[in-house]
Amino acid sequence: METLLEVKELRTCYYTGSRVIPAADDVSFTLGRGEVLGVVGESGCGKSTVARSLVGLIDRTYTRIESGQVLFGGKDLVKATPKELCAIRGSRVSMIFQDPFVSLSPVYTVGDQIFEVMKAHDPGLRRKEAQETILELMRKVGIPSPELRVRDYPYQLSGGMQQRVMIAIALACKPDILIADEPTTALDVTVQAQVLDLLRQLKDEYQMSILLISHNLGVIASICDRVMIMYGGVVVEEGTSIQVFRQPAHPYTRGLLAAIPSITEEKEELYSIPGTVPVFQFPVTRCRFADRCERAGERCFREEPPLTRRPDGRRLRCFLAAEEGRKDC
Amino acid sequence: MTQFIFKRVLKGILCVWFIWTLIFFLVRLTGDPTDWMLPDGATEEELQNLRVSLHLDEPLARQYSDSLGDLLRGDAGTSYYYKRDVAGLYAERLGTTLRLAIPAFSLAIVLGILIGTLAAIHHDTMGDRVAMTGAIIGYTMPSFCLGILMIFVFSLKLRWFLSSGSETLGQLVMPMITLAVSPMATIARLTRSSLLDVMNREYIDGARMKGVPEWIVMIRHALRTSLIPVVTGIGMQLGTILGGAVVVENVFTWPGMGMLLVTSAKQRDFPTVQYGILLVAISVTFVNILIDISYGWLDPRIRESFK
Amino acid sequence: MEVLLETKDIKKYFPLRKKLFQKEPPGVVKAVDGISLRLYKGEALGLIGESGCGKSTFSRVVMQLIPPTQGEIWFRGERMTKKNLMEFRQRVQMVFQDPYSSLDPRMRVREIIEEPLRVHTKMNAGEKLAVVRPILERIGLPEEALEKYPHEFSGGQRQRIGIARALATQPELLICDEPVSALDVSIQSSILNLFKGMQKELGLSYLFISHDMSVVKHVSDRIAVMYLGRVVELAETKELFANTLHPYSQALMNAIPAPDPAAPRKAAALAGEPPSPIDPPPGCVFHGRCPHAAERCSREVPSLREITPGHFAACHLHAGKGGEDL
Repeated sequence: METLLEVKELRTCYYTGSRVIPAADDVSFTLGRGEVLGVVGESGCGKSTVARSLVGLIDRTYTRIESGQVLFGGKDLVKATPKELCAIRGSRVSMIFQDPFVSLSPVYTVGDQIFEVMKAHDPGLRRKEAQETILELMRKVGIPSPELRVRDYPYQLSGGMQQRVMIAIALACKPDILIADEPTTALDVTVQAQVLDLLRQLKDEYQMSILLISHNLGVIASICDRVMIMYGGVVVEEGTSIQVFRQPAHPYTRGLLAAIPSITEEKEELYSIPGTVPVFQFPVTRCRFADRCERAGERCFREEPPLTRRPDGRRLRCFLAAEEGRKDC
Repeated sequence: MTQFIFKRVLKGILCVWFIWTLIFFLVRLTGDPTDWMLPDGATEEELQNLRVSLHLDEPLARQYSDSLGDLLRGDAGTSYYYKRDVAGLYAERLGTTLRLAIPAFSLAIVLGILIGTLAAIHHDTMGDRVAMTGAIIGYTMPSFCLGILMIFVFSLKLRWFLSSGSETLGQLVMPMITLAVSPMATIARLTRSSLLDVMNREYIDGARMKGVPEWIVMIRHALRTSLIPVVTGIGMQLGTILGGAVVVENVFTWPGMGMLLVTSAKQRDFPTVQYGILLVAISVTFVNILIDISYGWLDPRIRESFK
Repeated sequence: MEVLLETKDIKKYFPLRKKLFQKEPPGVVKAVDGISLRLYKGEALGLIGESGCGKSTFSRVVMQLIPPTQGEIWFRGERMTKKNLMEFRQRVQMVFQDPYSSLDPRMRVREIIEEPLRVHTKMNAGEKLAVVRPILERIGLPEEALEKYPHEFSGGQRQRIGIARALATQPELLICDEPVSALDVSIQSSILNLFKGMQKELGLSYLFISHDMSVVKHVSDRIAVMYLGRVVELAETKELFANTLHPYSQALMNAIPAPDPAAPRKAAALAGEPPSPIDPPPGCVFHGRCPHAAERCSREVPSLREITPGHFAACHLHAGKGGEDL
């Protein structure tokens, strides 16, 4: 598979008062053409920070990309100028957000908002000429009677329809990569299923790659080829969906899977990971999960395990599980 | 929309009527105007004749209904002091006041929004802190203090501007700034906080993700939606400007409506005071109706509720 | 089995705002449109539905925070009125969704938990502490927590504080409105375990409201499925999953993605979205989206009927079968 995007040792820190919090730390991954990579983790694990760092969508007053590279189209986006980033955003890399109602402007019509992205990358384009393309896009993302809806304001549409408008905006310039940050979290389950179906279908049609960020393991499992689990700002496990969901190796991944109630099987008592997510300060010199890990040894509190690749191709950040892996293979 | 405007105008008329009524009775609490109108040593009979000629001997309710009736017929009454129609009296001074109030109001709006926007974009930097400290000083400082301070520095010490009069542009500078500072500070603070709130909304990131340059994102997306509370604030500041004009005109001896109003109040010139307050009430109400209508232009959701 | 709480044909309509010179409001939002449910002592009754189905409005009506447009609420065989409201509030407590906004940030944890006792009893400080201490232990918070403020706790711990407050008056029934949907997965499971444990140990009953089928399934003995202000299906949890009767319940279950990449993908997702509760369609509220809708469905409202013992459904597909209306 052709590698479209390569992220190398990305570190993004928040600055609050005197503290430096590594929101994303030593994050490396690749995204191939047509691939769907899922990023899973609980709130504060850094998954959104990673996604936003890729396209420079961070509040620079409090946040800084400290080091690392984001290689895309022969360029390092971390070093890109604002002008270069503008040229890429919306045309080659698009993004959809968690709550479509707040991610669409409340004061412009749906049609105008779709037009805005087209105009940004084709300054000579006229609104009238674009009308047909806009309607076609709306039809493609499954908005019924687009001729009427094109003049609607976002508040006149349901949540599902709003998210379809967001997707239409994201696809208007046929991007290579779609970053979807919790795209279905604000939607009802039946609508969520519709939007996931739509993403699957559009991915094949446009041959684009998707970086899907979610806390919902079901959503991730139903659409992703590969999965990356994040905890406390670092990647703790990464592998194919089958590997991660069928044979989770990292204690955190295991705990997470055991903690969700299932609708297919009976669980009397759910597993719960003890403790709460701590906030780390830079630099971190121990395994970030050690406090909550039932198997943590003395070494886990002394040094941070590196992210190592196992013979079966999956990557893992754990001293104990890494040894097990060696025995297995 | 028409129904909405109709409703607002109706409410506005009620509001103006209420204020006029309130003023009508309040001025009559201040005492008897005839005390001032005749030379010392006037006889009780002369005073009584004057009261009768001004209808001040009649019961309050009768006075009220007569005045209201006259007003509705377009007769605002005759000034006790100037012995002239008060409407004409104010019309003469309207231009002078507008020459001060309009530049001051425009200055407050333009600079206020500009400072607020810059402070929001560069939030939590040195420039932001300086601007916002300045804004707090600006809107806590009473305008008469500021006016006197300016006269002291720029007229007496530096001798740049004349401290009174309304003939030249140079004479306009100090009263205009004095009048504009407080509303400007309020508008700047409002713009900053409202814009900061909007800048944290996701649709700003949504617009950035379209590849739209940052300054267009700020103007087209952030500023437009953040203007609603600012516009409300501007409406309220009009009252401050008109109220401030009364003070500032007196400090800088600017012969406008404000000065007339203050002198008339001192003289218990009831018809002049009533009419002056009426004018202020009408203009504030009118501007607020315009502002309510502008919400519809700023936000389609509000437009919907007009229907 | 003893009936603890019963609602009889509860309706809650919100009139839309009148315009100038209009006599009648332009319409009503039928948020809850005739719900009759029985909740037995010791059971956990789950209430599931998508946003806008009226589940939260229903819970607020049951809690008597807002008056119903029509219908009665009976608790332990007594009809609830303004007179016995205080007693009701003591025996029935509520756990809210948002652990951040449902706790007063200026009160210490001790004051928060003791507040219901202050309202309902005349206990002195020592007596109150004697009540609070075992509760604290039960929900897994250290005693030091009492003198702290809510902001010093994480989301999961705050939800525990909210539960402790609900337990202070030793209620028989807890109404839980989306109690875990603001929490992370790893925290959610510990709160769900807590609910299940308390049901067993304290004999608590629950009305458990959630949009998440797997959560409702995990804690509930029986489940009521809501759609557009009505209950469309009601059955014991196992029965509901084994023999789903209503097409909407079926669609709801199929729409949940399983955390297993190899899981067979279910039939096409339900098309469309729920209609507006302002002008609900005539007949069965679901007929516009129902794959099995027939002519009759757009005409006649199906009543909630007992199709097999203990399993109720409001659907013309099952009209021929079973017995009486609920």
